[in-house]
Amino acid sequence: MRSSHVKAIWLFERLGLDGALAGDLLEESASGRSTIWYWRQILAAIWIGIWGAIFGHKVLALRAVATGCAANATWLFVLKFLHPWAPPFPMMFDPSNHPLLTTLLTQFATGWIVARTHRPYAIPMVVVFVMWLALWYVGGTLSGNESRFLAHLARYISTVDVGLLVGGIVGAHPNGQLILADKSGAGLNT
Amino acid sequence: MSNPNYLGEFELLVMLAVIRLGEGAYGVPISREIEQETGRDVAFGTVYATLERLQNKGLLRSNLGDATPQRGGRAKRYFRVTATGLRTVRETKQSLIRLWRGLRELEGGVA
Repeated sequence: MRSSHVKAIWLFERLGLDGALAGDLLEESASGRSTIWYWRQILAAIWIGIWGAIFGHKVLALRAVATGCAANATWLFVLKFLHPWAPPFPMMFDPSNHPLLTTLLTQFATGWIVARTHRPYAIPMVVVFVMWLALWYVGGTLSGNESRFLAHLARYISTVDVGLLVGGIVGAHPNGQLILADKSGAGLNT
Repeated sequence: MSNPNYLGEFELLVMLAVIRLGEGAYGVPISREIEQETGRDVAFGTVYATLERLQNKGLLRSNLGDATPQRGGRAKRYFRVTATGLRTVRETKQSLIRLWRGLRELEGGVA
């Protein structure tokens, strides 16, 4: 359970969830709860924390989408400059049109930028951008009469979304605050 | 007529649990109290989100206790009800009593 707890604390710090909640979960799991119960609680806390931050900060969410689009537009410009044959947006970011590493690196950088410019709620704002981009991609793929939609979607999720989320996690401030921020400034005793 | 501090069902449960627990109200006993008294499974994340909302409304206040090794070095966050919180719970109780009164369908304890 201790190793699970270390992973949970790492996640909580990246997501800005209250450290007291992590302590409560460890205390409760020590009283006979299963590992499955523990991780179900962790995932529920993360889910609630992310959605709470998104719905509580809608303007910030819009700004995150705009920031992500601006970053991706920059990569688009650079890639178009380097490869004039590149397809139009949004298929531009179809992983099958570029080397895997290019897609991963550009999306990693975008995720990092969105996280760094929305630090108090970094991960939720990256999640908003991931969802928005995924919807855009699905729309673009469907309108293009794509016959191998699922295959493309799988490739997309495994590269673009992974790149964005990893970049977001790296860029997120470890002590960003989502739930029950310690307004006294006393910090979460570690 | 509108009350900005109107309490939802789960908010009321959390407020009552905090009041019942007094000085020792932190995440674990609050969640246990709700589970025991209502018989429903409670996600700690939901309890914390509700506690945060109630704190933002000025109905609760919190402070951090000491960190302990049993909790992986994480401090307990203790919650106390404020005067506004107590008044709001009383008002909610009065509203519920008024709504309850005279409902023949709910008399006698038969569903």
